[in-house]
Amino acid sequence: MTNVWRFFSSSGKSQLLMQLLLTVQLPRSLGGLDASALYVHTEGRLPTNRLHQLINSYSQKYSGIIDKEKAWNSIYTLRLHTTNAQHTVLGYQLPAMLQNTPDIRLVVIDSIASLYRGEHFELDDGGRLMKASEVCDLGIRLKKLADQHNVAVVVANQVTDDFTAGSSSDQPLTDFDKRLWRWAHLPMYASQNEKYELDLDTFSESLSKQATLGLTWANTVNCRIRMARSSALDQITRRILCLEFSPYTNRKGCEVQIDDNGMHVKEKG
Amino acid sequence: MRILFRMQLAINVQLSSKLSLVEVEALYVDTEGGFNIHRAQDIAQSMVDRMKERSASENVQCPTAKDLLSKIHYFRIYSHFELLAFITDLPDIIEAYPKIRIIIIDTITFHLRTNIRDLTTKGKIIKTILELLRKTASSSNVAVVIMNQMTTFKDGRTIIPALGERWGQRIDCRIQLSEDYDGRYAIRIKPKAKATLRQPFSITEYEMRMETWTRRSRRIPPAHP
Repeated sequence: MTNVWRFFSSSGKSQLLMQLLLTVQLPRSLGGLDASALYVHTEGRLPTNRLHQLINSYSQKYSGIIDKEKAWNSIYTLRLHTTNAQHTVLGYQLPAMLQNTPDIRLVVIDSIASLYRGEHFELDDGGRLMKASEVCDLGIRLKKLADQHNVAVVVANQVTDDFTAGSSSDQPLTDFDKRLWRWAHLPMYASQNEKYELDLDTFSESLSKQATLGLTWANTVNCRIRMARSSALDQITRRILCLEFSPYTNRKGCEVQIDDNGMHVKEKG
Repeated sequence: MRILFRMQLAINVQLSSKLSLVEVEALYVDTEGGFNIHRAQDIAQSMVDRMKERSASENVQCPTAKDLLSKIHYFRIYSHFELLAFITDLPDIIEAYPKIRIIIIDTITFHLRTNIRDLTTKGKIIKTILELLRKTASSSNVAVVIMNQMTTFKDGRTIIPALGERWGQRIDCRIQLSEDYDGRYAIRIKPKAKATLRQPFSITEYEMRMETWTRRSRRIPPAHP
């Protein structure tokens, strides 16, 4: 299964991905897979400070289950620099790693979009096709790996402004419900059983953005989770996490908070 | 991608509904890994529950959810080579499982996108697949349901079904699943009708159900079908 996470910069994407690296280590009864994780990253340095913080927090919260040293050892990392390296790594190194480390049950790729952002593809049809074919290939390869090695693959993507939205004359831009109908009446959850509705107007700018890599990638993933943040004009930054589509369940969301101990669902009220 | 999502669920439901005929089996070809066994179980169970309700007065033996699921032959395809090989082998597969009356391919498009760079090869593969499927459908008396994806036209804006015009022309019946402000709906594109045939539907935990046309905000749940 491949998930795509769409993000507005600093929406908490990396936080969530790192948290997954730890959650996967928990037993199934606590929402984990009792397994190790592989973090494939493309941008900047490994966020070791934050990982350190999270590991401390998890080992305290789940003392007896998560041990600091074991936690570190259960997170494998791989760095990708360019799309050429990506082909080699994903074609050879990644499968080999999954073969040799059968306790890996989660592969996180952060992020796919950054791999293509800096790359030089011609801006003509040929270039677009080239890029689309690489993205396509990548998806096919990842899905095969996911099945063959029984791993969950979570891929981070980025968002960009939607330039087509404004040109549609029959779309009244003022009404949230009409413009972002997909998110209207989104059931929000404060806990497994506490459902409520939230006025998502402040998140509309974030929610209007489009995922990069277009339909090619959108048609590849099985499940998409989206993070959005409130308008920059708001005094307090709020964040929501939404399930945009999935073969398992309908659209839903929750409001989240990020602190030293990680990302948590915000309680209602 | 929204449409894809709907399609997957549509498949699940179509599959199960076909299985309500006791001696019928289904072939499910999964190219994307979207088939979800838990969801299929829920749908099958819900179907069994409804059958029990309907036949409560009569003494009819209802199948169990397990029975229904056991009649789905599931194949997972990882590449366009495998897809071609599989479709070539279809006559043999149907001979081995003669109770198969429906073949569902979810989706035909996944391995036939820009991953095949040479357009001539791609065209040939698509043509071959189409011919083989038509042949199988007619000679084996099997319904073939093919799920397609939507793609962006060259202008970067218009969304059209993938695999091109030629594919569309050689398909007998085409239904488009969509969603907008008013909710989800299915439109029959082909064969064309005088009036647009548009059926709203909704997806619940257990099924895909037909809806009466109302605005999303004032949706009234339909009477139990």
